[in-house]
Amino acid sequence: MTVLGPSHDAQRFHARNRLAMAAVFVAVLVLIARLVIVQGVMGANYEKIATIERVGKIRSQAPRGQIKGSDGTILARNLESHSLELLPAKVKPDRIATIVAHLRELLDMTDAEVESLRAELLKDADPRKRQPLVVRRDLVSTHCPYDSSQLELTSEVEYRFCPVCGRNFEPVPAKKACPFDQRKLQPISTGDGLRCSSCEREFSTAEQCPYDHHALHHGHHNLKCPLCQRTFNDEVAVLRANLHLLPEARLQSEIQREYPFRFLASHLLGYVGYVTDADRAPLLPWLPSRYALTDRVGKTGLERAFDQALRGIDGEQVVVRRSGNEESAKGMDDLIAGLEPRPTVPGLTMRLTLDLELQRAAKVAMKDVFSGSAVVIDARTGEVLALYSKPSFDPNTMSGKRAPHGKTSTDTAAYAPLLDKAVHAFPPASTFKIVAAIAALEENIVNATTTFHCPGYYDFGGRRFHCHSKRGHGDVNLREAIRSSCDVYFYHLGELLGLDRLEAWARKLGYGEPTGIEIHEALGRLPTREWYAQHVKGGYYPGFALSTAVGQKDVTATPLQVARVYSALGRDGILPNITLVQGFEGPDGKMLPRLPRPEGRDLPVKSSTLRFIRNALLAVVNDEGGTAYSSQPTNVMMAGKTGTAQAAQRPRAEMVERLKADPLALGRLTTWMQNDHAWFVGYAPAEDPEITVAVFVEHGGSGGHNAAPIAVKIVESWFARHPHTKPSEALTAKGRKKAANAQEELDETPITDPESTPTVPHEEDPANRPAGEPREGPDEPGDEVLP
Amino acid sequence: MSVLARIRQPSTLIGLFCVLGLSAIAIENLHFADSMLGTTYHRSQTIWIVIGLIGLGVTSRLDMQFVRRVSPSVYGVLVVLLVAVLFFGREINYSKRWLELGPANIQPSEFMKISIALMLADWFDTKRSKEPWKLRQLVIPVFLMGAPVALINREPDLGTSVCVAAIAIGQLLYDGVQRRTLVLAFCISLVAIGLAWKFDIIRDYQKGRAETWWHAMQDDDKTPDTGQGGANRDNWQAEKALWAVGSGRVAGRSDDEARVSVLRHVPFVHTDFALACFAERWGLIGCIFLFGLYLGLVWWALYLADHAQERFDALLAVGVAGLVFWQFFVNAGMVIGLLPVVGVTLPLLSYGGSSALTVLLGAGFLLNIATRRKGR
Repeated sequence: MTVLGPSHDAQRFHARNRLAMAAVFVAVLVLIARLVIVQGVMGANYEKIATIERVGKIRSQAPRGQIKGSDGTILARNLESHSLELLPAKVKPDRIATIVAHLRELLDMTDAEVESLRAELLKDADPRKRQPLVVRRDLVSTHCPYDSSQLELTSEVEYRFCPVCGRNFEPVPAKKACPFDQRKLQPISTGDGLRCSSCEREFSTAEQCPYDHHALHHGHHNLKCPLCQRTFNDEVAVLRANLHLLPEARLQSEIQREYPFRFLASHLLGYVGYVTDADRAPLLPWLPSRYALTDRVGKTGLERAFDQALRGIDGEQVVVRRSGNEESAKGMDDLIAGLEPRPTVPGLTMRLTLDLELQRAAKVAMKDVFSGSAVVIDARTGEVLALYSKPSFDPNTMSGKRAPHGKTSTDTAAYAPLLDKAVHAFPPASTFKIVAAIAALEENIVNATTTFHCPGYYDFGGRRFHCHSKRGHGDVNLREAIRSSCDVYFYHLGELLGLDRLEAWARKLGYGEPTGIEIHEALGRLPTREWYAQHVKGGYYPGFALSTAVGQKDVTATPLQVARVYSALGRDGILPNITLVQGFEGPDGKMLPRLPRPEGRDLPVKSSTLRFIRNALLAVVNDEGGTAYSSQPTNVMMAGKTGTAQAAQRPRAEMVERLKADPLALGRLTTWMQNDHAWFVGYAPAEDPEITVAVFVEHGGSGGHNAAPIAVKIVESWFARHPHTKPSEALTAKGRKKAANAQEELDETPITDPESTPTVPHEEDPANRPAGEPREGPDEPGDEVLP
Repeated sequence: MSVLARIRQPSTLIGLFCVLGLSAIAIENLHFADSMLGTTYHRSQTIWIVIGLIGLGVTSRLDMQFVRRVSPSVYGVLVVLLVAVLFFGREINYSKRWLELGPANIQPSEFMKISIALMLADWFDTKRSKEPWKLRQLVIPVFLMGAPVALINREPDLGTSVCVAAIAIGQLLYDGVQRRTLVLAFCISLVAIGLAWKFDIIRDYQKGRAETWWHAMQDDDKTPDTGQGGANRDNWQAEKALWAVGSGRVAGRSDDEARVSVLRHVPFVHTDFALACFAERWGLIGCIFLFGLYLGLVWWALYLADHAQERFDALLAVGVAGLVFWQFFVNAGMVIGLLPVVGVTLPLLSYGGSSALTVLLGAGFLLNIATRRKGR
């Protein structure tokens, strides 16, 4: 052990000790100085923010723009939708029974729902990691879940609820008639109750469910839908008032897209859905994505096409989370420096050209067909007035909204409800014959007086091509051939023109090209030799030109394309640009200036040719012997063309598999698919077309019998509301006769230049000679029988 | 002079007052944090402090010769335990620092702080010479210090390893080193730190903290970062702590106010950021008082070092002074935003049995020295 004496060492130690003391004092002083700054000088600042848990920006979603019809009726809007959620993290096991009992009391829950909720709550997963459990979506609050009308308060109405099947029973009305459609109510066969066969509402005052004989719960409704007369309970209000009983639950609300007309215009409106990874992929790799993870974006139709305009620009709000609550950061300027709020720019409201009445008329007119579409366009401007595809779907359900209680879609997937058949390509059949007719006239292959003999068939290349009339049409000229849709005449034209010239003319007339419509559309197909070489086993065979001339086999066009081409025929060869959108409304409700739209183009067709074709089309509807003679609108004179595409098919294997359990449906589907596609396209008034209608009935039968009447109903509906300037004349027999005279006058005018004579194509163009080309084999596909 | 009479000396009374005051404050402060967060740390901390005070009494009566005899063994055992920790240690917050011994978790690195002080005091006293230490002579003490420092840094626990090093270096400097040696050692350590940074011996998160701190120092007057935009998590921790400290202002806030404030969101409020809790509740005045207690404790240790009759006692007292001072300074500096975030506990105030026990044992040695020295 060493002892520190009064030595040199001790002095040194003493000096170092003083140094250390001084250093410690200085260090503590530094700390205190810092404390004075933090607590004394800046203290007030920190005190202000000390209760703040988070300062930051939250996105405030821009309201999506509405979509309106041409008359301003809202077709798509935003509604607040409420849902009840349970937070599993807060649910203690001993509370589960109470929670379930309360929920059962507050909401009409079926036993099955209660059981699944209980099972979900009892699940053994780590409750902290579990997502909120949605007890019920789309709680009824202010709008009718069936038709979205604003609900009205009413005196309390008793109702009964079956906890087993989930049905609601309204009190039996006095007259035993449905309060909505006044139909006589039918008794429910299995028990004590009444039922409306059309709107499927049920009425009972019994204590037992007429279906499963379980005891019914009683309840009271205090809201009534002014439209459908159903009564409801304000579930949101009830839950909000009782939420103190359920601290584990919370009411969530979100803005949801809502389509009040549901099935009416679903295909063109489209629907919205949650953004997918593909949607989120930025336009350019180095750009940030335009969408947030939870965004909803337009998935189809106009919602997709105009997503950017409709969605607006999301804003950013600066908020402060303080003691568990979000507060606006007003008056905390120093705190939020650098966090700039961004205003929310609401989406633009879009006004469509769609005429809702006409759309409804189209829907009604097609009520008896399984599948098909109807397109009505303004022949002058190309604006779409109606675009209906059947079967339709409910874009509300597609957008994630719950279907109303117990109501399921009547659509079946067998008829492809999601496919927009107005812009999907199908074989255009005889409506395509005008291509061959115009081509032949323009190329001076035939003139108005050229006749061919139709014995009911045409032999070509070792094949017999049949006419739809087995007996044949005899000697027919071009006008008669169009009127009666004589296939043999067009086989001749097809042979004379050849595939190349047919394809070129179809393209000139507007087939195979985009119509200009804003939604996604098919372009159809105009087969060429190259196409056949690539896609058909055995390659091109000259007989294909004959099939193409009558619009069969591989040529396809969309109903919209066909309507557009016929508009051009009706209106002096101006091919309109199709549009669905009238324009956008600004925030003040005034229309914004329209963006320039490409003008329609002129068809490179002589007006004499057009006049001839118009005549022939008039004859189709108005002449005895015309294929649509039986279908004449009563209030206007219509011209048009029928088409019947041979399209017998068998159901696809997966459909057979799906319908195995339901042989009846499968049989119905199989029978349906044996039928031909029916077409009718026409314009009215014939002399100065306002509207062009194209009706396509998938596997509907014949164009004249199954498609034309639908078109007539649609046209009549339009002209009932937009009376034609000379309706009386068109209606009376005298007027009809006058029109027929006018027709004859037209017929007599020469349609080709006098000096040019019809030429047979293979004399001047050997390359087009179909017969000379080698054929691959006898099993070449060909249309042996044509309707 | 009797023992009691020596205890009655002002310096000893001041020292003991500081120790007991800090112990009481520690329990009260933890009790509040527990009441805020629903935890029960203050109970076990009370037990540890009681054990520590008993230990203080025991060490104050130990024969220093005996202590000097066993200190190499204790040191050896602790080094073995530090190795064992690396293999069998309990991992908390990505760091293996604790050995599970029955109901308690022992942190050998904490005990190493007092052990290194004893060990080096003994070594310096035994090998003493008239001249200041030359570099050549320092190989053994540097090794004695380096082994635990390296082991503790492996856990990883940068704060404690730096602390151990600082205690040892403080003793060494106090004992006297040749100026040439000093300059050389300084240069070597600079190079060593540079190499450690370069070759990732200093871990990325540690670098990140240092950089964060550096940047925070650069623009201190800027708006507090609000945890948005992917801000550095360490910065976010320090930021929250700073808000809590600052919001205490001069006089502190009531418990009810403090309970609903940012304090809930201050991380490690029981341990590394215990001072934030205290500072928000007691304000500038309370903090100055608290700092005074620490200062008093360090002053007592240095006073004893200055008045010690024996070289060993002086060096041991300097070691204890370093133990308390460095931990206090680094931790307080971190909480009030003066130093980067380093995992160093605040002596006594931070929850941790080994830490409290170490400080109290150190105080026991101080009392030992105080009661043994001849009165003046």
